Amino acid sequence: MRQPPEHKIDIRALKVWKISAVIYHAIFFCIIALLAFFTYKFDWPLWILITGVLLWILSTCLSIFIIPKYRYLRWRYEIFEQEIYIQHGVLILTRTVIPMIRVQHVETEQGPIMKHYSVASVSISTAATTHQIPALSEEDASNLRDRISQLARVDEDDV
Amino acid sequence: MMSERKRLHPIAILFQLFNWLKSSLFLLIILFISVDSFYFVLGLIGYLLFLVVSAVMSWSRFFYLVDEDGLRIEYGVIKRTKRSISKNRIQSIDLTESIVHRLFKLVRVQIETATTGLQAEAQLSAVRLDEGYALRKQLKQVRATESVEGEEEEIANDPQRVATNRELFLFGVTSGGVGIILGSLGVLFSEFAEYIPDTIYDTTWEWFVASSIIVIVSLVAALLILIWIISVGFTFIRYGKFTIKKQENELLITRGLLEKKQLTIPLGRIQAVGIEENIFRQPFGYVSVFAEIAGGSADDQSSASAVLFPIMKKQEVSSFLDTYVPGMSWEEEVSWISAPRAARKYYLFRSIILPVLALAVLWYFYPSFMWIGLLILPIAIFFGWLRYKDTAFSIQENMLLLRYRVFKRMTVQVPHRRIQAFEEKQHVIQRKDKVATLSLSIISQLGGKSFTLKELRTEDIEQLNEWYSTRNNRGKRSSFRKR
Repeated sequence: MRQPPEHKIDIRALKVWKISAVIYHAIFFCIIALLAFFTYKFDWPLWILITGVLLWILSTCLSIFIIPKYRYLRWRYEIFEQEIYIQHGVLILTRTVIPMIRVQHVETEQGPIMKHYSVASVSISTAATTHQIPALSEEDASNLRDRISQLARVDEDDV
Repeated sequence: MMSERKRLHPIAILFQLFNWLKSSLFLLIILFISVDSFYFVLGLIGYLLFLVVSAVMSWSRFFYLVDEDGLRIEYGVIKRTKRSISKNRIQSIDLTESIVHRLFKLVRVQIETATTGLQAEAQLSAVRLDEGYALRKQLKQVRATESVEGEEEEIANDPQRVATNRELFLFGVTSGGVGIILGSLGVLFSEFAEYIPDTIYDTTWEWFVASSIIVIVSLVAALLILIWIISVGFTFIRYGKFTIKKQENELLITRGLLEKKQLTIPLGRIQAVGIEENIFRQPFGYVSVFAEIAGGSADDQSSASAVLFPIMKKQEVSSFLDTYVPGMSWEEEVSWISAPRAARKYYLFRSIILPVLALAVLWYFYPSFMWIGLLILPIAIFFGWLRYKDTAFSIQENMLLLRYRVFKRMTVQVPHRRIQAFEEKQHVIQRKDKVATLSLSIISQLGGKSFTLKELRTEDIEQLNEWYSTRNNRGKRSSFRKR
């Protein structure tokens, strides 16, 4: 197999992922609480609640404590003169090659949590696909964006 | 030159009405069932009146105009929209004549730009036939404006191929339409089953039991043949007089007996070409030829690729493509790199898992119908095996050939520069077998599309990656470094 890409994404990605997982699971918890209320009030069968709680525990453990670490370890990217090379995926390892001349546009994005940790994501779009690098330091992200768009400008091919 | 703005033919009002009614049909049926019939009729009349008035108004507010720059349309009753499409940006102009259009000598004009999506950028639902053709001629950008005479002369020499009745008959017979019609009949029957009185079931059953095997078998055979004939008839209606013609840099495709469709495909927008072999045609060496096109609106909902020719001998493909899509030279015999033996179990597993699950459910509820499994399982295994056998790729200089099967065997040829992204996926079990899944993205009519070949040897994918990758062409590693 070809060597994996060289660069890791920003380590603060871990915190961002964990915090957003916590937020999602807080919402999930509210739904569980609502479920418990209905079970109590309308005598719903107990197994619904139990399944819900078990799912919640499992999902919490996985997405807060386990997945982010492995996801971070797997996430790699590298920008060459002619192409972009990305690797990600915890259970399914995915490696993507995007030639620079196929890149249509690049954008950086930053949500509130990412803003707090000064990281941003970079999306690279071709005419057919979009690929996202989830977290780079703000500086790296904007450098990367400018660099890719500079390199991509080289050749005005038809489509 | 048309320089004053024009309205569509008034029949466009009818089309608009029909469209609106079609889209609200479902709602109307629900209302019909749930609401008291007097109020329903009252409401319906009001609704129809409203529709008629708005259709007339929107027709009276729709104008189009062709000038040197291109096409302009204006529409909207309350919110006025003016859209202008520059000649240079027009990719193709499609003309369609439905039966209604043909009665009044009209045509529908659809104007496409590079934007991908289901809808055409501009649609003139009814204009006079001669005007439609004139419009197309005007909007066609002629790069170096040549004399009209020269153009006419060229047209006479343009290559053209018309599907013969024999070809169309073969196409219809082998299209597998029987299955589709039987399937839709089945669905229709299950929808209406509860409305059929029980006595009919009983008498049918009694008759069925009393009749001899020969009668039943011949009856079923007759039914199948009838359906077959109908499906062949449909093929003729849809693909009748199929003509492909090459004019300078575009392909002109005309087809249909009742509804005449005329499509233009600019050669520059063809992203990939391919052949399709279904299980009935493959043994006889017949294929149909298609192309993947960037932008434009989808020809029909069932497939996003355009049929270049419905049926031909496999040996003809090479010369056909040479004539009509130059630059896509098609090799007849290539050396394929197939999925390795280790891949077989994945393919078989994927094909039988759903039938097995379905059968398990069946076994639980209706054990007496288990014999169905004896029919379905071998078919599933057979297709799984075929899928495994057919998965392959081949590198031809700057072209990549991919072969895969869902039910039909597809062979697609993509030029290197048309591949937008290259992706390799591998899950934990695949890693042990040293296989991985490859997927390549191209642009199609509906936006992005990817071809996926599952469980190829990782070293083969590596070789493909080497071919695809441009990193060693000019540059070394980039100077970009993380701080």
